Amino acid sequence: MKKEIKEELKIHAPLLSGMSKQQEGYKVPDDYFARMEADLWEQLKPATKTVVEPASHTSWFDGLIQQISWLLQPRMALQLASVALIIVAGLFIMNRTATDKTDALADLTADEASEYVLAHLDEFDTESLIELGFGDADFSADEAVFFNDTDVDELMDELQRENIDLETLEFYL
Amino acid sequence: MAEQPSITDEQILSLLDKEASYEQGFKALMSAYQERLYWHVRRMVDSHEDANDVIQNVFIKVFRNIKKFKGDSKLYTWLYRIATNESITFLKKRNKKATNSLDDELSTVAHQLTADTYFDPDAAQMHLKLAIAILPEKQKAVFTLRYYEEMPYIEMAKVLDTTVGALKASYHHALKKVEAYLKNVEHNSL
Repeated sequence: MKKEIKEELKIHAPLLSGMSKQQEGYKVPDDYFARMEADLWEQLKPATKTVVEPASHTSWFDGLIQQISWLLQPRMALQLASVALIIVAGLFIMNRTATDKTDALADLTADEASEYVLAHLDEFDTESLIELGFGDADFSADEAVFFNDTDVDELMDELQRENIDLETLEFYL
Repeated sequence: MAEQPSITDEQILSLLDKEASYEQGFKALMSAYQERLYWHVRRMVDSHEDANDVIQNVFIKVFRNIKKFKGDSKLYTWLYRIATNESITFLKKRNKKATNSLDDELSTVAHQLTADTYFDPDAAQMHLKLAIAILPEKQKAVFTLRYYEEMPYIEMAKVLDTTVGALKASYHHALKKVEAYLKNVEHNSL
C-alpha cells in the first residue's frame, strides 16, 4: 500500500487500516476471464469479408444445365412465373388500348372529320389546317387557272359584243 | 494498485488503429485491463452477476468508441472513467427500487451479498462490504478508487471529472462513515 494512503487510513479510520485487503471473499467462475474475452470478441470482431470463390472450369453446356436447374427450383420458378404473368398482362392491356383507338378512328368518315374541323376552326392553327387540307396550299399547280393573251383578247371581244361598259366590268372583276 | 501492463497504452492503441492488427490490439487491451476493470466494477456493484453485466457494457462501449479516444488523457484513466460511470448508472437504477430506511437497505444488501454464490467473505469482510454498500454512489466510487485501487487524487480527478479538493473531502467523509459502521459493529459484538 502506498505510504500516503496508509497514513490517511491510520489517521481517519484506524479500524479500517488494520483490516486486510487481500481476502475480500470475491470469486469468479472458472475460466471466467478467458470466456469473457472470447464472448466479447464474438460481439466486437469486425465483419469478415466474404471470399468469392473463383469460377470452376466447366463446359458451357454444364453451365447451362446448372442455370436451368437453378431456375427450376420451386422458389425461383414461382418468381419467374409471377414476372411472366405481369409482362403478359401488361402487353395484353397495352395492345387492347391501341386497338380500341384504331377502331374508333376507323369509324370516322372523311365528311364527319371535315364537319368537326369546320365547326371547331378556332381550335386549329393555320399550319394544322393546311396539313388537314383546309388551306390555300390545297390548290395544286395543275388545278390553277391561267390565262394567255389569246384568252384575254377573246374575253375583250366578248365584252365588247355584249356592250358591257367599264363600270359593269369593274363590278364583275 | 495492480501491476502495470507489459505493453504500453500507446502500443495497444496503435494495434487497434489498424485493421490487420485489430484482433491483437483487442487481446492486448483485454489482457492488460479486463481483470483490473472487472474488480473495480465488482467492488462497486458487489454481486458477480451484476458485475458481469456491467463489465460487458463497459467493454462494448470501450471498443465501439476507441477510435474517438483522442489521447488527451491516459488510456487507463479513460477506461476507469467508463467503468465507473457505468457502475454508478447501474447503482442508481438499482437503488431507485430500494427502500429509504437504512435498516431495510442494510438488510437488502446483506441478502444480496449472501445470495451471491461467488462471494464467500469472513465476518469482518462482510461488515466492511456492508459499510461500503450503503455509501452514496459517487462516494462509493471515490472510496473504491482510493482504498482498493490506490489511485492518486490527480488521476481520480480525471476519472470522476472533479477537483482534487472535492475528492479529498469526499474520501474523508466516506472513511468516517465506514469507520463509524465498523466501530458500531465492534461495539455491538462486545
